[in-house]
Amino acid sequence: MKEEFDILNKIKKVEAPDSLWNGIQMAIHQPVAEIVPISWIRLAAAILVLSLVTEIYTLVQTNQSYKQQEISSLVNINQNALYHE
Amino acid sequence: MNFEEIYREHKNLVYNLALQYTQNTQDAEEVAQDVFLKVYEKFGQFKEAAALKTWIYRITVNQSLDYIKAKKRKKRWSLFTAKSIESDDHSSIPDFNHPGVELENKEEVERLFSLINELPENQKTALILLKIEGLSQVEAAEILETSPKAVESLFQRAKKNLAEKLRQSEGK
Repeated sequence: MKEEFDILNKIKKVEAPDSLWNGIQMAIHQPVAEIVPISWIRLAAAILVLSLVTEIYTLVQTNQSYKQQEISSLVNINQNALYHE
Repeated sequence: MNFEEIYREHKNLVYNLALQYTQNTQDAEEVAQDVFLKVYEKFGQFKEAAALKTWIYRITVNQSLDYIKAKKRKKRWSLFTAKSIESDDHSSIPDFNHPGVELENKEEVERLFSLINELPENQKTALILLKIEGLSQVEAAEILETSPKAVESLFQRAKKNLAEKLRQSEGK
């Protein structure tokens, strides 16, 4: 192994290229892309789901009260029909 | 010390260490750029120059390892999408381009690096820091946030594994 390590030891240090500094400067000064945080996306999804649930609930409730009204109107008619003078 | 001074003082250290990991000038430059962006974000936290140097070494090691992992993943994915199963050896880096290697040693160093690249990350790091970068066990231990004994143990295991891989490759 000594021979192999001697070869590795012979690897010379080189100068960093000049383009490295330019690349760093460009990366530092480029505008950061606006990314919507995941928490905001979750919040928006939760609001959407909540509004959908509310909408469905309201719809079901309205439907039920309409049915109840319909039944009670039927009952009234029946009461009138059974009335004898 | 401002950022430009930190850069001037450590650019060669970062670039050369990244080169030992990637063995490619283009990849080493990308790693070095990412390292200095991290340094730019946090260099204000360091008051001691020695702590800063150790920290920069540590970021370079981690950034290099992450870069190699990402490159392997990308390679594997491109192989998968191309439905090519010709080669299953992703550990060797085909685009060897290390400017610090003398022409007469190029073939031998390339072969050695292809075997070093197959070692576990911590063994590879111990070998690079001690044998190529020429750091002491104490310095390497500080960078790896471990004890000098643990570094010695890692190096011995790396040496043993490398010798085994060399034997196997020569037997082929």
